[in-house]
Amino acid sequence: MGRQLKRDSLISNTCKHKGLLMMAIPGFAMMLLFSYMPMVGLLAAFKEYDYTLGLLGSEWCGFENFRLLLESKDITIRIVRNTVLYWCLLTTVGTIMNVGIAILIYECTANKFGKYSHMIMIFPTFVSWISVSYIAKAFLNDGNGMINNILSTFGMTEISWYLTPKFWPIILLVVHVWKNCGYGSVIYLSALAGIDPSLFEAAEIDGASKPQKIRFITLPMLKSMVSINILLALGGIMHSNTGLFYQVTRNTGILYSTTQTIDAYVMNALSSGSDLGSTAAVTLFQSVIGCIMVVSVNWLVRRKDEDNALF
Amino acid sequence: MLCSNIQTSASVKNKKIKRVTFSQLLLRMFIGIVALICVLPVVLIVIVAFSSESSVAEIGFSYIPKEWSFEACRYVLKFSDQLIRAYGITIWETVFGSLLTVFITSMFAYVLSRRDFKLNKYLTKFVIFTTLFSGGMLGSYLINTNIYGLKNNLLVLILPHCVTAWNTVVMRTFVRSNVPQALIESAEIDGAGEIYTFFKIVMPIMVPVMASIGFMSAVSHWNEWQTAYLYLDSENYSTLQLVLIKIEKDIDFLRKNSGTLSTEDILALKDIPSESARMAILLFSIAPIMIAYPFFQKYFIKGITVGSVKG
Repeated sequence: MGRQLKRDSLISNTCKHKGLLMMAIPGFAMMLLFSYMPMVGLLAAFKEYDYTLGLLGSEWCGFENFRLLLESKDITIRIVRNTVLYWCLLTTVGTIMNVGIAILIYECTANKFGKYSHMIMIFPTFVSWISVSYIAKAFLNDGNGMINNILSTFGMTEISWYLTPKFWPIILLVVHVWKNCGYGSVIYLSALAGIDPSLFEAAEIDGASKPQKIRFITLPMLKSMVSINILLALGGIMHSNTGLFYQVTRNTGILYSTTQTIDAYVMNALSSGSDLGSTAAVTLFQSVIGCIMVVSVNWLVRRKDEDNALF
Repeated sequence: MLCSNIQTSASVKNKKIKRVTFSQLLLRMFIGIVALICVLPVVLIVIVAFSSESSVAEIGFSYIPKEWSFEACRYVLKFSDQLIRAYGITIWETVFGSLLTVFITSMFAYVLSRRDFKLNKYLTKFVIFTTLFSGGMLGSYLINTNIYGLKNNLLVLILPHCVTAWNTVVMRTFVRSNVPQALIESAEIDGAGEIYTFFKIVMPIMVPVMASIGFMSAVSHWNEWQTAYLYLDSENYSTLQLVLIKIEKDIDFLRKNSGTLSTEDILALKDIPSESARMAILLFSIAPIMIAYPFFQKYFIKGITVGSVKG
């Protein structure tokens, strides 16, 4: 009886707000079509995907694709390892750089110079990944790249960057930091702007030096924000930027051992038209792990600080 | 005695001021260097685009070319058909993509912000779930090509990423904290319909957040390459980023397959732009962002600071 009443009230409430319902429909439909339907597309993981037959026409094959993945476990382990390790590397160094720049700019915000410099530092975020790959090539290319030119003027042997896997973790790190350091520091800067200035005044009266003020006031103030951001980023541990790992590396086969991540692998499979069934299996694996990570991270964040939880 | 006392205190004061400015100067120099490092790679594009082909061929990529020239820019300004079309399609994508995003997302977010609409409990869950699990690039590809028939259809550039959970939540938070409930209620009492209330009363208040999300969306549309790369393979449909990818692909292909011809011959034969011409095309693709950036950067920056406050 009570339940009946409740349902009625939901329906009657919806009927009362027909206008709201109408305004929600386009957004709802878009999400349904382009966020929910792709999940159905992952059913291809259980199919023997055939380009001519399409998604619906292909034959079911049970867990055959997953068996294939286990069989080619060298590749599977490699891409998962690369994804996770790069996540750790980029997040750690990236966060340190972001916080560092935020503090630098904060110490300099009183004048216009700091503001304009920060504006310039943010700009690389808005340069497309394709442009970044062009720029990277201008620096690293074999014959006419700038770094090799400099090396040869100093009489050192030139390095074929695009053929030497061992340098790529550093190259990708530099590119990532270059592109993200300014933009990433914006949220920390906004957190710093919220610090009560009387804290600094009190410290000054007590005779604290600038480094001491940073060490004992600024950094502790950022601590919770940093940990929350890292926790939230943990939800994307199985994801990587295809711009960085597919475009900047120019999808070079020789470099796969140190550069290919799950997303770059999927991108390569999609553009080269290789077996989509097993690629779907990889994606499904990635999505499930990602889902587990997001849910557990959210649980952690909620325990730490309710306001910052995603849901 | 008194006089000398005053003098010493004055000199101490002077010294103190001097020391402060010195450390500030050091700080500013350091920030300046970081900003310079951030902007130099982009400057390289400009310099190479304005240096002559022979200079690039002779000394490679360099900040100090042997010879300046407008040759490369003239090449681009001749605007081959393909380039004009790519420019047109990219502009179309950017304008309509971001307008559609802002329009649909703002309506959806407004509905979600209404606490008196009971369906919201489910709609919010519906939106949040997309952050937990997704079909990824592959799931979208399979659905978009097999079921919606979006392969080689320009709509694929604007539809799939139109409504995202992130943008919706950011906008909803904004409405909740900036539009007083009483305003909506009084409009209702005055007899305004739901849709009228939204467009005439709520939307004007939402302008700042709509601008932020609109500009962010416009930049991401302008820089978008994945969708174009995966879905558009017809000669006629090409975005700027895709043109850049294709040029590099042709070069890689020729390098791998040419044993007999010299590079210049091949470039002439295949009508592939030279290094400086390529940089000029790149410059033309970044230029709109470079020009717009100083004017709109506050919206870009607001985009993430608004998002970091969750409701």
